[in-house]
Amino acid sequence: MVMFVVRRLISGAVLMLVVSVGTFFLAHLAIGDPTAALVSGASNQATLEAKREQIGLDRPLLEQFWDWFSELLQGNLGVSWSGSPTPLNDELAGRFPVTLAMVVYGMVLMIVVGAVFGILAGIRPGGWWDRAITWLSVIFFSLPGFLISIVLIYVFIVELRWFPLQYQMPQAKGIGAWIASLTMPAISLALGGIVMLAAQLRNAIVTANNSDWVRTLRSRGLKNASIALHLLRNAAPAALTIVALMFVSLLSGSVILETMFTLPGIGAMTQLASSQGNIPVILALTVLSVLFVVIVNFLLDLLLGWINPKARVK
Amino acid sequence: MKKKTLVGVAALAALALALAGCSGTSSSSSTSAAVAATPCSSTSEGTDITAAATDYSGPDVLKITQLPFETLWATGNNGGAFNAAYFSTVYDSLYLIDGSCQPYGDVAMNTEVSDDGLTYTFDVRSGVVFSDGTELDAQGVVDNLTYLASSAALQTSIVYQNVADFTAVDSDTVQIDLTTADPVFLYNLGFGNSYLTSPEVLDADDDYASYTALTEPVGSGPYLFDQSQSTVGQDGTSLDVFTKNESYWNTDAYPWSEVDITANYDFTGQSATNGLATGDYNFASVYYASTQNSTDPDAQFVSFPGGAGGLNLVDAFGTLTDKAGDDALEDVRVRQAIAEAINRPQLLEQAQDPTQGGDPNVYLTNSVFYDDTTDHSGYAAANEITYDPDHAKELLAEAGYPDGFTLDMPANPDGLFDISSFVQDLAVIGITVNEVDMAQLDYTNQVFAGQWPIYSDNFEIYSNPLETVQQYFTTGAKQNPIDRSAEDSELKSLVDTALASTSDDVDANIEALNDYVASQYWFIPTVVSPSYYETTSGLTVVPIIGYYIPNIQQFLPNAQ
Repeated sequence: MVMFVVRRLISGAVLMLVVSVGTFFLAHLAIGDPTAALVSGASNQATLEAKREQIGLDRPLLEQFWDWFSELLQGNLGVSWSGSPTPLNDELAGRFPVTLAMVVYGMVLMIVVGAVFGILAGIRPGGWWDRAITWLSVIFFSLPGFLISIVLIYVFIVELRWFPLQYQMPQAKGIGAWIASLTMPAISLALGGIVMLAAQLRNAIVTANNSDWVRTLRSRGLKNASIALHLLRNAAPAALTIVALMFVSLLSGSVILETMFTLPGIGAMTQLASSQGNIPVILALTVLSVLFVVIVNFLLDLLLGWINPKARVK
Repeated sequence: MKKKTLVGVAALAALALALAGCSGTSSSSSTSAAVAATPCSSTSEGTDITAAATDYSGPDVLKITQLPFETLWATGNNGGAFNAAYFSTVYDSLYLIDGSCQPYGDVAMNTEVSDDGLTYTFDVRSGVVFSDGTELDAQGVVDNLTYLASSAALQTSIVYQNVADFTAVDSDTVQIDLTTADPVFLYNLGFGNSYLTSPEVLDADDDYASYTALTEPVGSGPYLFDQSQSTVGQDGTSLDVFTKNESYWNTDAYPWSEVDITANYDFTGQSATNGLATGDYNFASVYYASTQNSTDPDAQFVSFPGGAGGLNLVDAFGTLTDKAGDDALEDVRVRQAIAEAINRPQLLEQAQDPTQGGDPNVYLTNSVFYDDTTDHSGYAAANEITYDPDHAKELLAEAGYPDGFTLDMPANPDGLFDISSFVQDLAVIGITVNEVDMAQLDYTNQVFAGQWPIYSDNFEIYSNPLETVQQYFTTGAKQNPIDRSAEDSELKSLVDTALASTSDDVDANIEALNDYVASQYWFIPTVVSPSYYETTSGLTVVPIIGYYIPNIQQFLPNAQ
């Protein structure tokens, strides 16, 4: 188990290194000189030159890389080029929890609701619940997430006024208001994952239910509850893999949703940084996102290794 | 030294603006639900910022939403455009612009200007205290002005270009000496370029680096920034909360207990529309569609000119040798032919907003778009450029291009600068456009760097004709990437004369400049797109051109 953990840690670190360095050079190659986009208003050549010098674009690329990379190794993500002097470490410390809260909220909804739906559909294949899940899968997979969000906003926020449109900061408005302001975005984020997880779980349960080993358990007189536990443990690896994949998907899905729901997370930050060519922000977001994906995958690997010892040797 | 008061300066501006139709022209006959405001509202003359809000019955919290802005909180980053709501909420300014586009003293009082226009003297308002406890005095103002003049940011470099010296005459009197008379100096100071921060945070010894890096404002304005309720940083969606400064020198003029500003990267405007409907916001800058689709019976809309699309023929001097067609643009007949080939009536028909184009009087007197005729058929006026492709062909033939020529132009087909309609129109008269597609970042970078002789542009409109002159024709101005004044001695003479105008000759000088500019066909505006403000019940806002997001002083009851 120790070697398994060490291997995963090393591969995660290598992945982070490759992605970070690659993103640095690709971003500079693709974006080039974004000075004019960063300095809006009545910019003139002198202003542009001053800005270029301020953000270091007048220096050789390798020099810029080393400065950035050596700071990164010390845990310093740099400062945004857009003019806001807030260190990105501080800004991301404020923004990432918002995105993470929404994604985790969405993940919880996805796992709980998806698991319940999947189990209900799996134990009665062909039943009305199973058919409903199938149809819902088609609907929520066909509709783009932003369209679902528009409907949710219109119905539950604009018309019914059940939830606030604005993000409610917990320290100012309280935990209840904070959770309420994250509910619609989390549901929007989770809907696709719920039906996907439910369908996956349903198939795994149906397949396992018809297998020889379940028939053997039944013939030995085991109770349904005990058999269900065996079934779930058997279906868990596939479901957990989907959960890990969905984490990445939910994280990237936040880009659009945060703008629609006015959430001050990293989603809108990503969008703005991309349009401005704000390379330090793009790099910081990339590093942070990769870090979290690596962490989630690492935890998932540990979990899978615990559930299925054979996975540890792969 | 013989002096005259600010009234004299205001009179100069008033004269120009009155001639511009700013103060007396009628609104357009729009089909929109919006009230079309003239560039400067005639109802806003004589704004008195010291007026108390005695009969205010609007919302208790002023909740503004807008697009993200680029910089907080250094005052040198310019308080116009997207920063206006933030800066005006937390900072005092030496001067501000009122609803009739005239500068008025905020912290500066009893302003006097010497006869030669080179010396400005004013008293510093007493009782101005910053959030760090520092009280403002004349030396504090000088420290601020010295910082602002040194700032490389945006418009400030143009605003302070004629300043020779700032002097604290005594503890509450400041003198500003100019090298050259600047008739829009006070106007420019009022337009977001004289916000004041505590002198204690200005570190004059190390090029203000520590001040520029401040993440919280230290101002003396009517509201205090509340970091505990605000998000950290400004790169993306953000919420900034400001609580009332109870010790403010004019606190009675501001009836809101709190000001919340939400910046959201929402170019569709849908989030703003939703927030206005739910009461999450009570002000937003919105699109025309919102004015038509709003279901809120109490919503108030006001429109004003926002900017004009069109072609900028920036290189009429053969400067760029590596671009096809650049030589041809040296001939004024070719430039006129291009102007007459653009099918502007059709562009207007295709505009989604029927108020686009609108009343010709939205074009400020003596701006590059001004036309003193009365019939414009709804399209942007540029001294009677008519759509006449046959005449355009004749002009090309006269200029030695009977078969047309090839013209290089940058394009950003997926973004703001889709030039396909121009390409089609120019093809009709034999000009083949070599369309060079590029990303929007590259587009803006290259055109601002003066790398293209002709390009599709978004012409900015200013509320003061002399500011228009500065922004379009002075060295380093954004709309002047290939310095026309340096290339054309006649233009430079006219620009210098205009910017040195007195109240007696300002109109004639600018008209002469305008006539010359129009005769050169350097600008081909097409359609003006109005900007729209939406407020919810109980809140009224007075528009000022140039402020996409208004100052807090533009909200009633302060903007009378």
